Amino acid sequence: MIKGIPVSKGYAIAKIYKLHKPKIDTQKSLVMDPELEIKRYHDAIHKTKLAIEKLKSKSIERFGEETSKIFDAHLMIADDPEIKTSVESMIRHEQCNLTYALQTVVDRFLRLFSDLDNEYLRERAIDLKDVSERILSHALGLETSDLSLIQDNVILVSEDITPSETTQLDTTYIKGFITEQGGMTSHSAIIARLLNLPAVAGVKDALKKLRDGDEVIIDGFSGKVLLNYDDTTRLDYEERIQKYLTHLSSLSSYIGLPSRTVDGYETKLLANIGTPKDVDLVFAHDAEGIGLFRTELLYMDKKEMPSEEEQFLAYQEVLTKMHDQKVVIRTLDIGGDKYLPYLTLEHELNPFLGNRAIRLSLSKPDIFKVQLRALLRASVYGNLHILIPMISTKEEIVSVKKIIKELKKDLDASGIPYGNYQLGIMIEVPSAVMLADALAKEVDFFSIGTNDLIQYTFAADRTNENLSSYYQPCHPVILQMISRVTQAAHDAKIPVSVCGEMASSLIQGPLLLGLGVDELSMTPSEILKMRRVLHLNSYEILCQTAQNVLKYDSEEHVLREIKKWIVLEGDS
Amino acid sequence: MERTYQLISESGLHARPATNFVMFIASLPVDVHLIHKDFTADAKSIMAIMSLGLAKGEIFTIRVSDEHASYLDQIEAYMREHQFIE
Repeated sequence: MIKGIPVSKGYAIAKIYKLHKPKIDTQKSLVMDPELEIKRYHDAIHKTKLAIEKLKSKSIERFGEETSKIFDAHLMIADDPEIKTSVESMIRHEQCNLTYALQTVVDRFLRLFSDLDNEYLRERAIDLKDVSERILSHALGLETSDLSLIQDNVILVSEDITPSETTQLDTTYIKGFITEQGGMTSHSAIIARLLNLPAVAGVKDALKKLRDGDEVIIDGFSGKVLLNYDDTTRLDYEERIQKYLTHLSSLSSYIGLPSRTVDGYETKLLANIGTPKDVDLVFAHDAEGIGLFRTELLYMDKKEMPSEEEQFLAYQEVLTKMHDQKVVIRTLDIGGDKYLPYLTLEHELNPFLGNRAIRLSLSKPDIFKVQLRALLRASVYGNLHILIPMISTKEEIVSVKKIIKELKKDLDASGIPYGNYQLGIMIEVPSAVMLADALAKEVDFFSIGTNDLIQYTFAADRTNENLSSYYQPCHPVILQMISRVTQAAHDAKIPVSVCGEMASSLIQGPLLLGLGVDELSMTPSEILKMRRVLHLNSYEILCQTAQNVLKYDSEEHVLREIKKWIVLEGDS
Repeated sequence: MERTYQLISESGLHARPATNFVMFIASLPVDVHLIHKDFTADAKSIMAIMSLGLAKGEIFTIRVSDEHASYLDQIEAYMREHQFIE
């Protein structure tokens, strides 16, 4: 048995499927027989083309012809005569190995492209890298993984699963994740909870310890991964899977009920989503609106900046589907651990303290304006709330408002309509907490991002698993900050929601309400569970408990106290 | 044999138009070269074509060997149809 951090609940029994990210050695070495090396090159090209063809037909089946055209370009690049001739002559003249020759030639083209500094060419540079890595992997006999080709029930094992990889996940076959890196708030964990898949993170040496094809049991409650178990254990887990599924379906009796405590306090439980497709999940789990639409996936899943029209269509789709229910759309939150393949950012020593989120948007107004214009145009179609991430000074929100004002003038001049909307900010930096009174006068709502607030308060990188003990959401310091923010907001008569991981937790969520938070926004799969817990608890007790624990000095103490007062299980 | 043209397409000869152009050229049974400034590119190589960085308004030359001159008409027709040239 091996153990990691449980980051998404559920159980699964399935075969291991390792996501290979081979390290390719491109050191120069002499070869005895250059012609044999060239033959290896041709073989590798052939195999690469077959693999691309396979991906292409698979892709056409799933996504249609248009989206799959990229693979035609990949086929051409694999077979490019200019690259081929250069590589062959280099192998012959320098008697060198294929991997060195190909890498050298490819690097030459990449340099040429970056000198031209053209958006379209940068797009091809990514493709060239992708294809050449495939050829090198084939030449070296390394396997590369294509998630879309999986046709069997599997549990994915990887260092970490990147955002672009998560977009290709097919839950028909993929039953869970095991990752070596990451924790509760890493992207793959968030996706796992969104898809209701069990996931265990921070499993050291998982790729070494687990073998492809071996059946394992993954327990997303305890973080255990079981290998070599006996039949009794397997039967026990099969039973648990059944029970858990029944539990999930019993939640369906809460569909359509208000999110209300026993003493009649009513709140709204909202959903966090990443793409317009997720609106289906919002309805399936009966969320009362969208509390956070992260727009990063609209940008990440692409080879170039999405146009104003593309973004407008995505926002319009979500707003229209949600009718007059609240939809909070957060502007681009890139930087830190999230980047875009086509947007070169300066290398930073401390990305989480760097030019990210609103800072990046304000430093690249051309990109920011496209998004704001798309949002303004979409505001006609529903109840739009625009959310600006990572505000740390008042000047930032003043600048944003100025840009919006100019954009509205442009729209007016062109006769393009826009509607009403609310403008809010994320409170996730300690300076914003201290400034909350002043900020509340500038905006229509607050949304507290607890993941970043915790990392910035404890000065502990949330992607560093050695520091996971610093991730203490219920530490009195964090609770005091939240209490301060809700006070400031209510003094200014604006609402506060929480959209971080805390809002999804069945213990922390109710505590947040006790601290004065008005609405909770969470992974759709947690909505009905949270509604059930609210139906078991009294708002008055939640408020009293919250007030009592504020003066404690450790998270442990807080947890002990709130477990006494918050009811998680009913009599049923 | 060669002919010289001026590129009129908005995005220059990049990415998508180049991909389709190279596919078309690759279907011809002859060697075709594209010359821009002092550089000669194999017109069947997407990488070579794109690294010329040909932009709107720039002059380029298409060359085929004399015995295959007839293919030049085909190439010219393709480029006109796809609005590379006037």
